[in-house]
Amino acid sequence: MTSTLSSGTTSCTIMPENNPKLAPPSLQRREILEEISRLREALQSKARYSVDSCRDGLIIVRLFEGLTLSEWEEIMSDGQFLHWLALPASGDPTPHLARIQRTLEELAHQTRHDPLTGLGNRRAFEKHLKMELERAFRSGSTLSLAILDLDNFKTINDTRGHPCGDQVLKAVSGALLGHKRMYDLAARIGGEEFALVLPGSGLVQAESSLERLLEQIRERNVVCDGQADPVRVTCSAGLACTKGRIQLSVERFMDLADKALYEAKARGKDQIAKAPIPDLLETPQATLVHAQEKQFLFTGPDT
Amino acid sequence: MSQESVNPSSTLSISILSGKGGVGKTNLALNLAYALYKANQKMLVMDFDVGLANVDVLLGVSPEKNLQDLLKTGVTPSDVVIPVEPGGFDFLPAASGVPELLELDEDGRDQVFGKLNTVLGEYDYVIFDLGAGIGKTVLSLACMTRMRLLVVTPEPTSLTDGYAVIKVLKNQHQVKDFLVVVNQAGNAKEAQTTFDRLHGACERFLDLDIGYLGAVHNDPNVPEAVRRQVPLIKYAPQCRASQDILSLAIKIGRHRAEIRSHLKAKSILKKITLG
Repeated sequence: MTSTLSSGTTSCTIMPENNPKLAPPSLQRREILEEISRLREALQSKARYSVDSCRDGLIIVRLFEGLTLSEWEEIMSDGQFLHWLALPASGDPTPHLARIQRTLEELAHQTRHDPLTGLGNRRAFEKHLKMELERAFRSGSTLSLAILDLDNFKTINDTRGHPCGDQVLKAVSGALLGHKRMYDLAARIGGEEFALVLPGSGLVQAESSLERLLEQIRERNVVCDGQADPVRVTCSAGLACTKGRIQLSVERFMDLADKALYEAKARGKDQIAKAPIPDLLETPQATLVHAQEKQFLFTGPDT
Repeated sequence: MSQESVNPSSTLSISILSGKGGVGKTNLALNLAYALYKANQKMLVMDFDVGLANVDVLLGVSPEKNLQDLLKTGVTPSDVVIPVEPGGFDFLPAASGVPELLELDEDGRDQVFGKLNTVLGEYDYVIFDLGAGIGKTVLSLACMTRMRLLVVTPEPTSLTDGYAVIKVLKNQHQVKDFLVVVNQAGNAKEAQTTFDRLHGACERFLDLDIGYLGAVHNDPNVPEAVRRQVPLIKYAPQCRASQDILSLAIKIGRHRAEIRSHLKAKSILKKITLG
């Protein structure tokens, strides 16, 4: 068991099934839930949730006689014990292993996705962008990054209410997902801020694609529950592009797109602004004019 | 080899460069164009001076469209090009289309160059008025033309900045042919000294033999013509600077005649290279 679940602070509860001598399930379920809750609180101050860099770790085992998998699943959803895994003390482990597998998939999805919109989250976005920047530089190919920000989102929240704001966010996410190509990444990287990573797209292609996207968003009137008049939504976008000729950090590339976004906002919103292509800005050291050359030009060959 | 010529009207593309702003580059570009136009040559001036689009001001025209529009489908050259003088002196504002031009992928670039070369083939000369300095956009555009004029003044800083342009183009883009114009010269001797210094430095440090097209003298008529938004040669054809520019134009015309067969065999613009 340790070989499959030995990472970090993942915890495990073991229970044998079908033991008739125990307390009624509902009572037992509440007790188990409370016990694990207390344990979780106690562990929270000590244990690290990230297991990336950690080699040490414990699997905490507690045997609950008579507890079935379906009962455990109820406890898990009541107490949100998604990180807690269960294995059977006897019998066929397959349903339990399938449960662990599903849980792992759910957790993996949660670490990469925004729960409201289902888009990639900021963490997934940054990781993906880093990889794509490296790929672009290695292969000398183009890569574009668009950062989009909903216009006047605070007003929407203030006048229409937050549930309506959420619906607007979902509508924009839907537009992004419907618009992107298979190998593009769409992510929600802030409250009302989205990003599109477009591998292989240059400034021209990315701009015309973004123009279509902004048009779609403009035309998509969002109808909120219990509100007669639909919400008009517009987006501003900052676009940055590299030709893969220089090595760019995620921070620098994002900064370029951010500044362009700021410009789009300052110019009146609902539009795209483009950042200068960083590959075209750098001046190579080998071509600077040296002191002796300058001296020659200033005074001629005689000095 | 195909016998069909790529550039049947042997259009000569010229870029006008300077290391430093304020050396009279745009003014020279316009007046050279005007002088050649007066000699019955069909001229197109393209303003690539990103951020400092002065040609329209000097000409007193206000363009509505630019190069970027020309790249769009369905737009014809006549929609975009502005006639400055009837029958052969046109102007194309190009500044705001350049990053896109450099950005195009192989297919897009072929398409745009096809379109551009067709447009440019209508003219005898195409003059690129480029921004000052050694920005990559400027350098890439300078590589595209078949001739390069570098404008300097006798001021030492203009000379070092001009030298920097030559050095980058040579080291980064393997460009080896430059013609120098010394503008705002006090007298012929000062102009010659200026060119000799630049020539000497290029020979010694870059192993490069640059050419001297000539000098344009300081002239009080220049600022006056600028103020009136009229080409100097039109405003004061007899003045010293006008005469200087006319003789530069004659040299360029002679040069084109000499290399005509060579020009026919090559596309008007070389494909863009990024250093």
